[in-house]
Amino acid sequence: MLDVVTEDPATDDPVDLVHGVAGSTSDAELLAAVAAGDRDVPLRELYQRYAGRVYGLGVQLLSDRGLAEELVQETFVRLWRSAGLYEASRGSPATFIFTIARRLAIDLWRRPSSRTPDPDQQALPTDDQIDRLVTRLGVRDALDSLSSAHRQVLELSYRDQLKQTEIAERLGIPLGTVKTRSHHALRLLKSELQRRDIHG
Amino acid sequence: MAELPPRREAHREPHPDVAGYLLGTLQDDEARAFLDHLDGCEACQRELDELADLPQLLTDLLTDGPNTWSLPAGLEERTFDALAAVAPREPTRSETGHASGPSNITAITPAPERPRERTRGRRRPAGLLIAAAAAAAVVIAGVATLSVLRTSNPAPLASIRLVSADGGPAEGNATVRTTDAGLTIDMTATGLAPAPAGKIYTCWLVADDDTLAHPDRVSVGSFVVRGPTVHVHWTTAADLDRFPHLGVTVEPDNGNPSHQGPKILNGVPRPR
Ligand SMILES: [Zn+2]
Repeated sequence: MLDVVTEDPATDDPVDLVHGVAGSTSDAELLAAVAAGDRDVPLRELYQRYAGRVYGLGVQLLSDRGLAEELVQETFVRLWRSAGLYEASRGSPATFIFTIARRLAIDLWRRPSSRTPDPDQQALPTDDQIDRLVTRLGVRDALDSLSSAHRQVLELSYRDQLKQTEIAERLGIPLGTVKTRSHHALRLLKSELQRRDIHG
Repeated sequence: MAELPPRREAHREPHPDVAGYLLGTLQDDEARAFLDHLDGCEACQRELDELADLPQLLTDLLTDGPNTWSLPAGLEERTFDALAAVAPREPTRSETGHASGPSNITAITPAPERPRERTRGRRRPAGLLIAAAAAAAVVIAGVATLSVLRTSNPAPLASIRLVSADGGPAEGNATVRTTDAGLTIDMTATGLAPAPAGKIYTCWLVADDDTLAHPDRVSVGSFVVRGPTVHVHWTTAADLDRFPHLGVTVEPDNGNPSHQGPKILNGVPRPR
């Protein structure tokens, strides 16, 4: 018989679940500290949390890594200068930060020197397209934040389309562990997505 | 195959096949058995509902997702170098309505009352902390008279040693420079305990005539202590001739811009 709860030593390491001191501070608290004038630890923590996605937004929208770098720099300069404008009642910190980033990205996109005259590239991305891109960047980021054991079981499921029995065989672990680990992985992914204000 | 919890009987632990069902990784017989169980189990229905958006998000990522890339080496440092060169902050939403006070960096929370008007200063967002009603003593003991150190030299205008005002272990130093954006103050302090709940550290520039009854000072900025060493960088348009002394207090984080709290650090001019 299969135990409903299966010990899974590969993912029991608390490092998987605990984000450390800085990681335990919410984005809103970090923004408040930045608004209070601290551009050191809180802003660097926000950089750790958001720079990858902002850079990805730049690479995808602007098709240019130099412009994507510029987007990251400008976004964080703007964030530093305007953190005090954040109001929780108007949306999440993630929304606030990506509102800054997408405006700057569109400014960069409009810069004449930033685009090749490729007709396919001429249409300004719609809000909806940018929303979807930001969501996918967030899902990628959330998935990357999981432990490798959790990420692996999800990737084997949805990317490689393996059944649980095949995953167990591939990884050389009991089927019960695959089931438990899959559930933990989804739960953790859900919580990482919520941290990023992403809902399907 | 899993021995399923009986139907219609609550179970505390999640059913082992919730995830497999969502991800489509169960064998057919497992999936059928799980569906039978699900039909009568509210706990599993709730769990499925909570996780139901994940398969589509993962599929979108698979079919249409962004490629992976890593952030370029050095981008973080370049970004923070760029930041260091951009000092003034935009006034906070709450600061934009009323205005006075020369500092760009003000308290986290806005002034409930309209502060005294100032005629000097590049920008005058409110906030500042020109205390209409100071509640506690505010004497800066070992003062650094910044104005006398003024020079046209681009080197630091003044270097100020910060000494504990209450006999505690806190100490630090502050460097004042002139830039196009105004004065910058870089302060490093050690030995400061995290402010008690509801309190926040505030750095002040203080006028000669500042007294308990008639405070005359501007806040340079507030800060939070999160580690053994604090480094803060501020820009202020405050006039050093008028506010020549520097000090740090701990203030209630209550939106009142007045100086109320005890003094923690005093500025002492460093011998040059
Ligand atoms: Zn159930």
